[in-house]
Amino acid sequence: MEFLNPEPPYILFKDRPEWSDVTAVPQDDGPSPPLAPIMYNDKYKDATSYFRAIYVSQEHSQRVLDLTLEIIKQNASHYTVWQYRYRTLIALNSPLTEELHLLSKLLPTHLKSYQAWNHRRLLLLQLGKKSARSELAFAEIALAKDAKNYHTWVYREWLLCNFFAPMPFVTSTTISPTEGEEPTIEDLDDEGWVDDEVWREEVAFTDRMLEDDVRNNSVWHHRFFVLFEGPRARPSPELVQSEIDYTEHKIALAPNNASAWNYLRGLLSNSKTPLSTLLPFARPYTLPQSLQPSLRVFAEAEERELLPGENAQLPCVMALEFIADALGEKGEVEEANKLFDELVERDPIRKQFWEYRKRTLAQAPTAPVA
Amino acid sequence: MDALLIDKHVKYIQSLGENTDDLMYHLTAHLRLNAIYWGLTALFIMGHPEALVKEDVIAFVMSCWDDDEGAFGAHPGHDAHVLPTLSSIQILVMYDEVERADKERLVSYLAARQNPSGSFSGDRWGETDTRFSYITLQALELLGRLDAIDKEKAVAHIRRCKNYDGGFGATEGAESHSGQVFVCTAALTILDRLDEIDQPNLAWWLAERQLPNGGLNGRPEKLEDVCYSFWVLSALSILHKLKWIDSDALIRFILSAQDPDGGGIADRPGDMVDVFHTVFGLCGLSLLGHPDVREINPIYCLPAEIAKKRGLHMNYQVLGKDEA
Ligand SMILES: [Zn+2]
Repeated sequence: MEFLNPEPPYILFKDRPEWSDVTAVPQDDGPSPPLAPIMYNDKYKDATSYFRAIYVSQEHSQRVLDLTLEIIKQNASHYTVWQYRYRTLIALNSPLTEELHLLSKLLPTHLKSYQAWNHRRLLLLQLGKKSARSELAFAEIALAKDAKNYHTWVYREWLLCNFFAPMPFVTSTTISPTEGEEPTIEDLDDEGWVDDEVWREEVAFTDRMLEDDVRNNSVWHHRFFVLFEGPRARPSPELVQSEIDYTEHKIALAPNNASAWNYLRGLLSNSKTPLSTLLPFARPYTLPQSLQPSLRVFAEAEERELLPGENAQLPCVMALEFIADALGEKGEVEEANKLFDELVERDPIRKQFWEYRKRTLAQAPTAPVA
Repeated sequence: MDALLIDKHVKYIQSLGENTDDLMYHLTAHLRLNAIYWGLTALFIMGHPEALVKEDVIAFVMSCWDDDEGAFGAHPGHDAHVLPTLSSIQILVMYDEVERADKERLVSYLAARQNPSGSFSGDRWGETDTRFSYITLQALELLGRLDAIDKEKAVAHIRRCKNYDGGFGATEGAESHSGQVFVCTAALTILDRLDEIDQPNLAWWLAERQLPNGGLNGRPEKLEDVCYSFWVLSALSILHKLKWIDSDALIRFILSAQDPDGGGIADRPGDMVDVFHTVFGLCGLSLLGHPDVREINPIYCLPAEIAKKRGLHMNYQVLGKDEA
């Protein structure tokens, strides 16, 4: 129905009366052809030539906000324009929550723009902790659009560490814009200490995300960070065990999932648990589908849940590798080598790697492997 | 296997600056200096450094100087930033003209990018990223002034960006990513602190990036892309583990992403080419020992002979060369 409510026609800045007092400064790297038709190209050239003019005169005004917004819409990577816009917002004492809303509307189309995300970070540093919680919700919405977007994840982790950790994780001293413009950080106000609930909610958030896509490595990474490495992590043997159970169930759902196997290895090495502890779990995944029915028959109900499903592609390369490493760790070189041979066959693109592993195992049979 | 179309790639790079009326030219102004560095590096390792006019390139670099801040912006009139600043220094180093830059001001600009935590920001607006650690460290090493920053703290920050899978992320808490793995590995090399790396674990994570079609990806479950040929390979080269991937399959993949008509290399076969994927595809071929490409030093992404002449770090592996 857009035709019923068309966008107002775009007016070049050179034709806008409120800009008539400014002399545009064209880019100095090539003349534009005379009689060129008005197209997007001219639109961008026109706007940036007015930007150069106000940049030189150091004007900070409402019309500068209009102008910079127009350029950002056309080119979200123009970092000088973003920075100038931020300085103007501060100089005008503009309501930053409005800027945040505006940015929320723009961001979905600029998810890959470093500059757009950094602008958002600068706004949050000004707005403080009271705005940070709804930002976590915003990041979740952005992830619904692109669940692996690196910038969105980095932003979410920054929010958590900067506003919900006992000490500002990334400190305000990392930001030092122009002289005398130190942003005020209003975190650590009334609550003073950590918001443990926010971090607990973060685990539930990764549950939701993994239900959507169990192979999303960003989510597995985030979960590990929250539970084991972040500023509010409280690793314990019980936590490691419950995470092992959780991961085993996820592997049962989709065995060929490198992210889950890596997470499992992360849990084991973080808690200094030998890989061989999980041999009973991993073994069935190295066997062909034809042997699975008999495994199911002999398994207890509880164990059955952890067996590969009927549609699983077996044997699973990551399980073969896991067992080979576990056996190598125990010094069972011959058995491990058989698995490396199978890996050469099933994962030929990494043939050289598997053969290297075989060689090093033969040289140092008792040395722990990676 | 497809042939490497050197002549076409040289022409493609020469043509890049021609149509300044093209919208893309304007939209990529924030990457202009980087693009010149990418193009020039590609030309050097293809053996055609003279394909761009040296004096023109240097004049353009000098016109990007931001005299308020004492560093380079991406384009005349753009604010200073460490990205174009490194590109400018690299270009001047390649032309053996680094004396033209105002070293003292550059060193103070670069050193001021280090934060108390040891991380680095890209400009005075504060965004931190391990990319900026690497960029600043390389720029300072090229200027011979690594002493201007706190190296221990720089190492400590990179250590905090290390993940359970052996890889590195952009910030503390960020997921491992091939690009960030490269910058952290190269930064630690520049700092002589490769001992910080969990080498077998990281090299395995890198080898895991190769997909059955030969291409490399940046993270698990993501698509292959020619530029990762450089990020992944350079880290593997620094760790002396290039043999862990199937080099023939990767060479085939890179060559298949060439544009056989207009020249240049794309992110993957059939896509539009750009100078970024062209140089990193060529660098990948160089590390894999392709006979038509000269040696790149992956630590700096500079032609090896130039890095050698300046006495920079040289401990890396190239296939087909110096193999035990
Ligand atoms: Zn790419």
